[in-house]
Amino acid sequence: MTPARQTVTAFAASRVALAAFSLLALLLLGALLAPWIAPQDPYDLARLELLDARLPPGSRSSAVATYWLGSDDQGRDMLSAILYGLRTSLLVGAASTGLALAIGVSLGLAAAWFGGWFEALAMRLADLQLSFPSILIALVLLAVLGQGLDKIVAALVAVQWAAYARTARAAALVERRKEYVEAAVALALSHARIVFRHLLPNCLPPLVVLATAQFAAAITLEATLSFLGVGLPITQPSLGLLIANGFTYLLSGHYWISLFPGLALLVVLVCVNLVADRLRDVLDPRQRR
Amino acid sequence: MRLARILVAAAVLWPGSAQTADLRIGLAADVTSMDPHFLNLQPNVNVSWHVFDALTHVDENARLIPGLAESWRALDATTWEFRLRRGVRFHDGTEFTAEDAVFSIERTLLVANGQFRPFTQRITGKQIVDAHTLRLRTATPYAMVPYDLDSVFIVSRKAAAGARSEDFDSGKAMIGTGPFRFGRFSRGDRIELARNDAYWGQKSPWEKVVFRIVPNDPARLAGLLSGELDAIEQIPTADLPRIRRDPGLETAQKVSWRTLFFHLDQGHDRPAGVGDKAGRPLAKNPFRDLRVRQALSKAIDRPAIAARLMDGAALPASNLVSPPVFGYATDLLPEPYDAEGAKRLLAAAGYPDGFAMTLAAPNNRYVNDEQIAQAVAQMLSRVGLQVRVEALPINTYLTKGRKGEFGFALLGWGSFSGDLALRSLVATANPDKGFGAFNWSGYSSARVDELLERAFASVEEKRREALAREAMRLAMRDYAVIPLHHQVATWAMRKPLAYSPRSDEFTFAHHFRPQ
Amino acid sequence: MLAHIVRRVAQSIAVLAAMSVLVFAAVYAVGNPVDILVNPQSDQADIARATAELGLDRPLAEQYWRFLGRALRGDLGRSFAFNTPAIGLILERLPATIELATAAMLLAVSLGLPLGLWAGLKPESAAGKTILAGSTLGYSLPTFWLGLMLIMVFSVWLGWLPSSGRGPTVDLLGVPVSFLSAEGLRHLVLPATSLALFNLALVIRLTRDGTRDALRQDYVRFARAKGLTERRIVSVHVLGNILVPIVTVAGVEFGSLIAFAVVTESIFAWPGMGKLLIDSIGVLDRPVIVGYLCIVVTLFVAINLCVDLLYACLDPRVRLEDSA
Repeated sequence: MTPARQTVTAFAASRVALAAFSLLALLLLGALLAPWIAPQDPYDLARLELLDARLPPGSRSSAVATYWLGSDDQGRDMLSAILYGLRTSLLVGAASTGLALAIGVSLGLAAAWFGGWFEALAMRLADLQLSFPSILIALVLLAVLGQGLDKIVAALVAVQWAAYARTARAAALVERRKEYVEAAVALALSHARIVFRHLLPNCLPPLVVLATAQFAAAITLEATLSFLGVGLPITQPSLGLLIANGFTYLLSGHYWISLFPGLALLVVLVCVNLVADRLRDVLDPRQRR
Repeated sequence: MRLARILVAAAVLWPGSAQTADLRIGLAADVTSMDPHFLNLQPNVNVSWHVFDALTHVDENARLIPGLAESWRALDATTWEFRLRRGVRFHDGTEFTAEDAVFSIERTLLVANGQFRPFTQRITGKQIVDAHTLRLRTATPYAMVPYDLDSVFIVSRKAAAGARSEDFDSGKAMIGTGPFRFGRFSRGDRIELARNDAYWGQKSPWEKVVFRIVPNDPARLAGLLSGELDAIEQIPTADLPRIRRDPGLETAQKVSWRTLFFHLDQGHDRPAGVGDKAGRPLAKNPFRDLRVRQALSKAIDRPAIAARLMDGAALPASNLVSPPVFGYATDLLPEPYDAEGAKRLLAAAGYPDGFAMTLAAPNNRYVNDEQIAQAVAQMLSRVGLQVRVEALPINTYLTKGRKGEFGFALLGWGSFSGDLALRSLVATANPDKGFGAFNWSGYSSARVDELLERAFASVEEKRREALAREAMRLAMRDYAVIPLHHQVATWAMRKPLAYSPRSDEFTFAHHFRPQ
Repeated sequence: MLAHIVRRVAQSIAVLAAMSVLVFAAVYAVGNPVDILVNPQSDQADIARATAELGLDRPLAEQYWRFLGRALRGDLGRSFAFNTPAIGLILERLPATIELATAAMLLAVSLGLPLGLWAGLKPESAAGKTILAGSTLGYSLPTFWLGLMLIMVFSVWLGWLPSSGRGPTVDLLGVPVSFLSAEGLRHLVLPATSLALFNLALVIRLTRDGTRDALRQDYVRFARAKGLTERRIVSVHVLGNILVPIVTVAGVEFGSLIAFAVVTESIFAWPGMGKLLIDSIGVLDRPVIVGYLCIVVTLFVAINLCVDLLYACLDPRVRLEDSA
C-alpha cells in the first residue's frame, strides 16, 4: 500500500473521525451549492420582505414557502443565511489557510535549505509573530485595514504563516540530512526540484495536521473578529457575524437568529477538530503505537 | 438554626431588590470623564447634571426653564441679564454667586480640546452687577445665549480653581450645586453618588445612586431581568414587547430630540457610489433633480420601519427636529409611502430603469442603524434602484462623510431648536459664518440662509420661532435632505419604580420615583 | 543567559517601534478623532481648532517624531477621550484584566490537571471518554459564543449569577480586587469560566497525553514491577513527566488569556484594559491604543522570560539558547 493509502485506511479506522469527516464534507457541499439549494438569495435586497422579519422557525410566508429556521430582522430566511454564511466562513478559512500555508512553507523550506542570514531573519520574524497572541495582531491590523473579505484574509495570513514556517523548517532540517537528499544534491538536480519534488512531500504529514487545526482556528478567529465588529461587513456575513447580529435578539425570545448560526459554527469546528485529532494520531510518528 | 444561617448567607449572596433606598441604574454608554467642561457627549453630560447645575435648564420636552438663574431677559439685542437664585450652596457649603458663573464660563474656554467652547465663545462681555445679577454681551445680536447656557455647568470657583480633568475624576473638584454629591468614579464600571440634602430644587428620593456602565445591550437587559439593576436606559427595541408583557417591569418612553435623515449629495457633479447599473458614471447628478429626491423619499415606507424594525420606538419624521422641539413645523407631514408614485417620478426624471447607488450608514451609532440602512436599501430597490449598503464604524464614517465621500448617507442629529439644526445640516457651507458644518448634501438655498440669519438675530422668541419654522418648511419642501424618523427614547425599570421620560434622552436618577 | 534576555528585550523594542508606527499611520488613515468627539453644535472653525489642539493637523511624520520624543521621557500623551495620561488610564485597568486572566488560568489548571489525569489513566472508561469528548468540544467552542450562552443560561434563565461588571472591589495592598468578597466572586465566575474553557481543554489534552506517554515509559513499568503504589507512581513519575509542558503552556497561554480578555471583557462589561482597547479603537484614541500595546508587549516580555527561567529550573537539560 502507498503511504497515502495507508493513511486513509488508518484514518477510517476511527468511526468518530469518519463521521466527522463525512459531516464536514456534507457541510462543504452545502456551502458550495448554496446559490442553488438555498430557498432564497439572502442578499438580494429586492427579494426580502421586512414584514416577514423575525418569524419563528417553521413560519410560512409569501416569498419563501417556509422559513424552516425562522427569519432575521430583515425578513431573511435563516436557513439561506446560514448556508451563505457557512460559505463565507469556510471561504475565509480556506483562503487564509491556503495562503498562509503557501507563504509559511515556502519561507520555512527556503530557510532550511539556504540557512545563513535568510534563515535567521525568517525564523526571528516567525518567533516574533508567535510570541504575540493572534487576536491582538489581527485586531490592530483590521483596525487599520477596515472591513472586508480580502482584509480579514490578509490579517489571518499575517497571524498564521509563522507556525507553518517553523514546522516546515523543522521537518525539512530532519529530511535534509537523509540520504536521498544527499543523493539528489550529488546528482546536481536543481534546488527548486529537490526542494519541491523531494523535500516537500516528505515534510507534508506534520503540515497537514497543522493546517487542519489552523483551519479551525482561522474560522474561530474570523468569527470572533466579526463579532467584535472589525471583520466582515454586514453585506457579506459569515456565521460569526450572523451570531453577533442575532445576539441583540437573544433575550427577546428570538433565539433562532443567533442560536442556529452558532450551532452551525460549532458543528463545523468540532468536525474539523476531530479530523485534525485523528490526522495527528495517524500521521504524527510520536503518537504511533 | 442551620436554615437561618443558609438564609443569611443567601441574603448576602443575593443583591437586594428595589425596595431599598438605593437606586442602581444601567447606562448604555461609557462615561469618559467627570470634567463637566471637557467633552459634550451624552453620557458625560448626563452624569454632570447630577452633580452640577446650569443657569438654565430644559424640561422633559426640551423647552427652556429656570435653573440657577431664576429669570433672564434681553436688555437689548446684544445684552442678556440673568437673575441668579439666592441661597444656593455648593456641596462644600460655600454660597453660589455670579463669580462662580463667570469662572465656569471662562473655564470652558481653557480646557484643552474642551467641547463646550461653542456655547460660550460668542459671549464677549461678562459683567457682575451684584452677587446675584449677571450681564452677558455678544458682539452681534445672538438669540441663543439662554439656550447655550443650559450646557454650561457651574462649578465652584473655589474647588475648581486650576483643576485639571484628573481632579474631577478623583472627586477633588467635583463640587457642584446639583441634586447629588459625588461619591466615586470607577472608570468603565460605575459612578457612585449620594443625595444632596440641601438641594434647592426637588430632592432626590434616593439616598445613594449607582450608575453602572453596561454598553452591551443584552447584558444591560440581563442585569435588569436578574435584579442586579433597578432601571436601565435604551432598551434594545426588539425586547420592548417582551418587557411590556413582564408584570414585574415598567417602561417609560418619549419621542427623542434625535432625528435620523439621509443626506443626498447635490454638490458634486458625480456623487460617490452613484452610476448606472453597469457601473458607469451618469451624465448628470440625479440628486440635483427635485423629482429624484422626492421619489427616494416616497419609496421609503417609514411606518413599516417604525413598526417592524424599531418595534414602535420611532416616529416617522417630516422635520429635522422632533415635535416638542423649538422651531418644529407642525404643518409638515411625513411623506406617505408611495412606490408607484416614486417609479413615476423617476421615469419622469429620465430614469425609468433606475440607477445604482451606495447607501452609507454607521453601524454602531444610532439605534438599529445598520438594520435601518438595509431596510431602506430593500425599499429603494423595489422602485428599481440598485442599492449597495456600506455600513461603517462611526470612527471612519464621520471623517469620510465630512470629506464628501458619500453620495447617500444616514445621519442622526439632536438639536435644541430647528434653526440650529438647519444651520449645521442644510445652510450653505460657510466657515466664516459657521454655517453648514455638517452639510454633507452640499445643498444651498439663499432664501433658507437668509431666514436662518434673521432667526439667530431675533431675541424675540415668537418671531424667531416663526422664522425657524419657515426655514424648515422651505428646506423640507425642497428635499434638501430626506427625513426618516425621530428616535423614541426608552427606559425600563422594576416595579414599583416610575420615571418621567425626557426628550433629551437623559437618565436622571432624581426623576425616578418609588410609586 | 544574559545575552538571551538582552535579545528578547531588543526584539520587543523593535516590535514596539513597528507597532507604534503602524498605529500612527492607521489612526491617520482611518479618520479624525475630532469628528467623533466634537460638539455637534461646532462650526468649521471649532473643528479646526480642536484638531490643532490635539496636534492632529501636523504632518504624520512630525506627529510621530513628537510622540517619540515624549515617549522616551515616559510620557505617552493624554487620552483624547478621557483627558488623562494614557499610561495611568491603562495601569488603572490592568489589575482587573490580570485578575480575570489569573482566575481563568487557575480554573483551567486546577480542573484540567485532575480531569486529564483521569482520562490518561483510564482512557477506555466512560468517564475518560467523556472527558476527552468534552475537551474536543471545549476547544471548538468560540469564546464569545460561550460567553453569550453563559449569560443566557446563568443570568437570564436561572438568575444565579450577574452578567456584567466587576462588582464591589476590596483593596489588597492598594490594588482593587474582586475575589475577596462574595459579591465580587459572583461577578468573576462567568467571565472567568468563559475565558478558561479553551485552556481547560488544552490542559486536559496535555495532561492526558503526558500521562499516557509516561505510563508507557520504562521507568514507570519498572516502578510498577517494583511494587510501588499506584498513588506514588502517579504523583512522582507521571506528574513529574507532565509538569514541564503544563508550566510552559500555562505561561505562554497567560499572555494569550490577557489578549483574549478583549473579547470576554466586551461581553461581560468587565472594566479591564481589553475593553478599554476596544473602546479606544472605536474613538481612535491614539495615545491609549499605543499605550496599551506598550504595556502588553512589556508584559509579554516579562511572562516569556519567566517561562524561560522556570523551564530552565524544572528541566536541567534545557539550555537557554534560541533554536536557530
